[in-house]
Amino acid sequence: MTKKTITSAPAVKRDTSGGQILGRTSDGVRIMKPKFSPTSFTVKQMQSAISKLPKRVGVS
Amino acid sequence: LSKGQVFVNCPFTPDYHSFFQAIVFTIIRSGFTPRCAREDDDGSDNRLNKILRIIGDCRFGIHDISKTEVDAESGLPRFNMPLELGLFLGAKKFGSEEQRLKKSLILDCEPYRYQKFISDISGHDIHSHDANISSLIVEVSGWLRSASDRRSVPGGAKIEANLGAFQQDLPNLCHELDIQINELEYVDMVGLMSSWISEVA
Repeated sequence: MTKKTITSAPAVKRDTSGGQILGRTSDGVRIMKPKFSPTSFTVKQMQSAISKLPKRVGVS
Repeated sequence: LSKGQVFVNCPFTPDYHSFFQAIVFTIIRSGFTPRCAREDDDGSDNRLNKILRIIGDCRFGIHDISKTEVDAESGLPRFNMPLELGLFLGAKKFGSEEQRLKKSLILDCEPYRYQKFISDISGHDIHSHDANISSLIVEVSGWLRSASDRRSVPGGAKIEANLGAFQQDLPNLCHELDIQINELEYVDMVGLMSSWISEVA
């Protein structure tokens, strides 16, 4: 009998106000996930577009 | 009611667009979630009900009452901003204990001008942005820092520099996403700002 493996979903990070955290800036500000998703493109497409931007130095 | 959500009560007209974009960017960059009537384009939802629901959700409200000029076609001013400010102040005054914790930033384009058209709010601390985006960002970020007691909220100069960098990247982002800048919906812009800030800033 094989042992059943239980995998849990990755934990969603939330701040104290209950909002979901999208990420953190280099100066430590927690950026919140927007309440509504984009309607003209997917989040994945958006992240892909951002990853293709030329790297900036000293933006923050 | 969420202490991380900010109701944005301002004009949605083309001449105010860069100010609106600056307010929304400043809110996101400061670690808060902007909320406004444009977030959910559902024609079956009564607009006032939607606004009331958003006001009920938000601890903070930013109200820009600077646009008072008359409409070229109707010859009348638009009263939506003063109405929504009144609803927000009413929720604070007559709402539950939690709603009474609401805080407002009221903005105009000149100091004391509001006394000539909405004198009943005398006694509130009205901030002036002098119709200038740099001043607007400084006012909004400074107020968010003190109203929320979050010292992590960056200064206006840093946020303005970030906004400039985002605006420089926006044409490239839109090219990658096969969309024109003027075709971006409010929720698209908020999504792009949020992701860009969390990845780049």
